[in-house]
Amino acid sequence: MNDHNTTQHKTIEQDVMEKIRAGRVKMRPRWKFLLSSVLLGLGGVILLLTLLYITSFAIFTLRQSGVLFVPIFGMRGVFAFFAAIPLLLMLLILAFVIVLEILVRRYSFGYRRPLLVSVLAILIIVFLGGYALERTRIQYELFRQAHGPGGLPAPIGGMYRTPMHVQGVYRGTIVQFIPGGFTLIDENGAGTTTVLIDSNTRLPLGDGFSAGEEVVVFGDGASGTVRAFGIRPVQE
Amino acid sequence: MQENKETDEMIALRVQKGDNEAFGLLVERYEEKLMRYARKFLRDPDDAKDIVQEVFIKAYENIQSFESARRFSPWVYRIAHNEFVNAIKKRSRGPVFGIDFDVVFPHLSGGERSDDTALERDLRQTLEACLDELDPKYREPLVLYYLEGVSYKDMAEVLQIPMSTVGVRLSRGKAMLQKIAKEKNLI
Repeated sequence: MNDHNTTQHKTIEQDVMEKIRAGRVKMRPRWKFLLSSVLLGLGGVILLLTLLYITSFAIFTLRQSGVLFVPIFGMRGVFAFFAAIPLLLMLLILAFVIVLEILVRRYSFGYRRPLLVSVLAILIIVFLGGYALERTRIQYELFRQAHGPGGLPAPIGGMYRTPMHVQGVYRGTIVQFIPGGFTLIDENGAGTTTVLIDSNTRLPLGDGFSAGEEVVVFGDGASGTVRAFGIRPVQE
Repeated sequence: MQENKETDEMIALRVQKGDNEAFGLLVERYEEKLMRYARKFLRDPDDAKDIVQEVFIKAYENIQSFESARRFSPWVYRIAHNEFVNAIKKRSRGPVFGIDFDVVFPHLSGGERSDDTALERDLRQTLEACLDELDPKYREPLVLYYLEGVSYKDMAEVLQIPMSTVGVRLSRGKAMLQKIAKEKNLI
């Protein structure tokens, strides 16, 4: 058994060393590994930044349409919020998160943790980072440029020029008070809506509205009139 | 013959600096270990030699990617693991491990125990006798831990899975082994 092992031992070592000496097996240079590490890292950073941008855009879209503010009105608001989440953007975010997770698992800080933990960590980073990015006004500046003269080129400009309308959610500025409500003008100044307030209207942040104040109205409406289920000021 | 007191990492560094002959020392040190690992994991002694040779060739080709501040052993075992899994894939023409929920959220269910001393006593012998019947996913950690003496930490590096998953696989592997051994009237 020992003889057999010794013979085999010599054979493998000799075979390998023979190939090395003959130049049939070549060592890959260090710079190739460094380059692939740098490219991989760079790819990861670009992927993360893209994810942060898409997430912040999704949050910005929800904020612009007023949907971001409706969960405060209770379960009905929460349902409306989830129903309005842009599915395509969410699928895109999910796909990018999967790719990022695959990338992260190549590194020891990724594979040393259970998949669930690393995916949750990525999701938390992406959503908190996306929210923070959205608060920096970058999205608003892009929105402004997209609507300005010349505008931003497609597809980025197109994303900002396509407003998100959600049934039952109205964001705008109070123009004037009328008996039993007020008139609201939308952000572009293109259309007005009559908002009716009754005893069932929820006012979670108080009722001290004034003309010129920006508010979000959540309710059922038709022909330019809305019976408000809830109203809240936009505090930004 | 004088014993070489250099560590694997020091030898690997020499190879990286151009001393190709030093690679022979690494082959010498790991050949038997990897041959044993291959025979137990692959369950095909004919293939083992060629595949282990391929492992060393891959190790030589990629040695510049080895960071000498880290340990050489898990690095070369990782290359071996990849080669062995590829060999099994080629043979079975299907996924070896598939989706592994032990990596998603490693935990043992209520009925599973993390240790079993009764089995522990004769485990090595039982393992040798029942290896063929075990799923490769559980066979590999059992071979590495009980026959090769690879630590949990190193195994996590070799298999690139969390340490908790290593524990779960070992525990499940032992339970399966016990079941097979009972069926074969070995215990």
